[in-house]
Amino acid sequence: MDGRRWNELRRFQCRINTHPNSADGSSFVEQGNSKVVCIVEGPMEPPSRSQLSATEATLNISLNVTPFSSIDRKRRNKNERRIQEIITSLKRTFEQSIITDKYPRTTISITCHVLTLDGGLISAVTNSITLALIDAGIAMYDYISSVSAGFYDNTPLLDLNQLEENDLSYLTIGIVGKSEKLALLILENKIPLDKLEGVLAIAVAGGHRIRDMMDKEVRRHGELRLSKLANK
Amino acid sequence: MAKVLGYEYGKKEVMRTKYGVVSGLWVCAESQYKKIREKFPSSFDQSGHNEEVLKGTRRMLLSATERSYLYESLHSKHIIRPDGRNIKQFRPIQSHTGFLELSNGSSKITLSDGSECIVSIKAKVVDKAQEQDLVSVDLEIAGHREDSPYTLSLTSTLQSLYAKHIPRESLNLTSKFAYKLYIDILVIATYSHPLTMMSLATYLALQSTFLPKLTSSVDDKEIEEQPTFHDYEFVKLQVTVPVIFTVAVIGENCIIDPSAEEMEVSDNGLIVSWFDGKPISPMGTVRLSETNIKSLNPALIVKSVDLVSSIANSPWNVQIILS
Amino acid sequence: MEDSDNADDEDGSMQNRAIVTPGELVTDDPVWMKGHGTYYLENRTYSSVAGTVSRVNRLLSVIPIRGRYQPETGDHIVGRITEVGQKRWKVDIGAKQDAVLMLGSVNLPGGVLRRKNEADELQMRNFLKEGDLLNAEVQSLFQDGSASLHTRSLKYGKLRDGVFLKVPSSLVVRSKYHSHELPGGVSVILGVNGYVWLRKTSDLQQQQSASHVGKDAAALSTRGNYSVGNASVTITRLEEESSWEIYSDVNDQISQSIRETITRYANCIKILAYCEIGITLERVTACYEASMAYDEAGKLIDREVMESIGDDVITAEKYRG
Repeated sequence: MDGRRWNELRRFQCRINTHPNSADGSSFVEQGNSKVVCIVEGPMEPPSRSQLSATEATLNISLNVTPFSSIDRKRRNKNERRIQEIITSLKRTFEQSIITDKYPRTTISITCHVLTLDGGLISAVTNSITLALIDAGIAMYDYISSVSAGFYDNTPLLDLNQLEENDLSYLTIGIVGKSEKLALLILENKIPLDKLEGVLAIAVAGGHRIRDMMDKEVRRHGELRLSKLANK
Repeated sequence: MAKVLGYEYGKKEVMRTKYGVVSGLWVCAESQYKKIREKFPSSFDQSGHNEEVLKGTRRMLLSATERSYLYESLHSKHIIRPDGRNIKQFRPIQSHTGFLELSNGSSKITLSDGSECIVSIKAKVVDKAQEQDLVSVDLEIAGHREDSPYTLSLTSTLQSLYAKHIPRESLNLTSKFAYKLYIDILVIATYSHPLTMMSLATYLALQSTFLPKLTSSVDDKEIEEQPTFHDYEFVKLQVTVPVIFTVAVIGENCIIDPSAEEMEVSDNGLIVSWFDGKPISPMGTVRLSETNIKSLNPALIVKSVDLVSSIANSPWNVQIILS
Repeated sequence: MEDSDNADDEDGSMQNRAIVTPGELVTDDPVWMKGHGTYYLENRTYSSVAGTVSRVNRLLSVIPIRGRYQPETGDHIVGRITEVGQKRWKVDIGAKQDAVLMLGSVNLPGGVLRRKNEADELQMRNFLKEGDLLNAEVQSLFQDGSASLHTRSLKYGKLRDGVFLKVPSSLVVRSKYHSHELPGGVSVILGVNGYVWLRKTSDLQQQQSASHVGKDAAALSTRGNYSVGNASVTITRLEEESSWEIYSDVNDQISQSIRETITRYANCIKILAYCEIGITLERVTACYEASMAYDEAGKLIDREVMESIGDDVITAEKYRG
């Protein structure tokens, strides 16, 4: 709809270590016009004893969709059901991909601020969390890259923007690294079963491309730091 | 924010009365208290949330010896701030504007300690007759509930400041319609008192705000019509914006832009708002630390205002602080 | 022992400068033992963090580019008490979890050989309380990776007469000594965990160093640094030292000029951290000298100034070889 081909991603840009002084890990992701800042703190001593697990790390995720993120300014309630649902599925996803049993008795606190939103909320947030966790040096089995896909008139479409999301039925997936394994699958509305396979296939391919772009940024940043540390 | 003194520059009577201010509360003889109260009813803002303001910023633990070392260094005549700044010096600020495409104006500032704040300005066309304020401030501080007293008290301070001092005329469109500005402030991290940071970011965002150009006639008294706008041409918003400064008082010394550790050992704190070359309300004491609050010598209020004025009115003005 | 370990470490990371990222196959050779930052699936070892591969003997690990301090036995660290509990203190050392300092692992007033009794348990806050800073060594690690500390040496204990600052722990270069005397009557403890304490050099320390110089000038002149623990201290001195004074909350008299020097050193260490230069005694001193080009210490917080001084330090070092 915005002049892209059906299997084309929107502009994807990301940076890690954007807030070196205030967090253990941080990232900034731009997916099309959606912009997300993610801050990770921890693993750290839990603020209260009740949150403590003797065997693994406890994950806290908060998602802040700012009132100015959409074209029409509107205040969102933090307890909105959709936001809560997203948080729950993100939590489940990352509890699986972080090697949590390496960090017993600690908390990892993740905060995402959505600055502008033009579709792909879940995927931009997921990608930003992956990057911020890597920046924090937290052990993970693999990257989780995420992208949305829908279908229109028998054609699957990749990485929808807000307008497309409003009109089409779509799903968001999170893929583990370069594999075909899904760590996250959220269907927003009905998709005919026979179309599902095609939609999933382009989403997986898109997710791999996003993983590669994130990986490139992580390496670029890593090289930069190493070159500085070579001065040791 | 704190107990706000309805103190405007020139009303020196306030200071000539003998009283001390202890942690934002006026300590004086009962009779005098009443007198002052009658004279300046607005001084006694009952909505002060002193306690909460403090819980808001992350607490800094200091050992007894660190505390006394810092206090002595900052207390002495020849003041030594922990990072070597002079009393007028701000911490380096990094700023960035106009990065949110969906907002009319936006800014982001980062302090050297990692504190960061993002401001978005969105404008909406409203019927003037129906809107009381043409400015609305909304605040979100990471780690705080929106309805926490801390966030609410800061919001009300900023709301009253901007609603009062951004002239309605500058937002006028036609005789019937005007722009209403929605100022959304998002604090991603804060380690010291956030008011200065928020007000500087808002200043920058407002200075870089562009609004659609009006193409329909200004006078719409006769015709009942919505104003129409140019498709892509924008006009820069022309406003003077007030700025809030934070001053920490330690002994006889007043220092601008206290860092977390300076706040922790300060005797008292003051916020001074500055607009159009002079101090305005809100001005008042704020609690910068949980312990260690001492009474405030009124002479120090004057000293603090002088300090702020020397910064705000010198060529080394707000623009330069932000560059 | 420690030195050779470090050398191996250095070599390991030097040879394998390439960066691995989470999920990347590091090796499919099962001969390697998997260390930190890796996981093992079907005979293959994968990386779990973004970092560089280190191979020490048979141990394969990935050192993350960024991350919290990971305590190791023998590390000299600076920490802050966060909690006073039953026979133990909890200490923030910038790691994933607070470290533990047992009542039995500190020197108490009245001599080292004294037994701890119940009265001591009741007055633990009189020794160390919340917020207090101390200088300690990692004694051992628990199963879950958290550290247990001890301060049973004269060079460890409560910190006084100075200021605290934090730098990323990855920038503190491990060396034999982490407490140094700097020119200008100031001493520094560069905790391996990135917590730094700058303070006035104590009179006692100065005396000792003077006598030390007399005895063993050669050892000192090479690097000019000095560690308290090395001094030959008699038992009587130990006992004297172990009096209540070591837990005092009162600073010495500190002159204006010493305070200024401390501030300048603090800014210098922040410059090194800002420029991501590994922090060593030599660099702190070099940075301090370079900073003298600016008369006010307050100018040193300017970004451009920090970068230029950082460059100076590095180029000067290359020049010297």
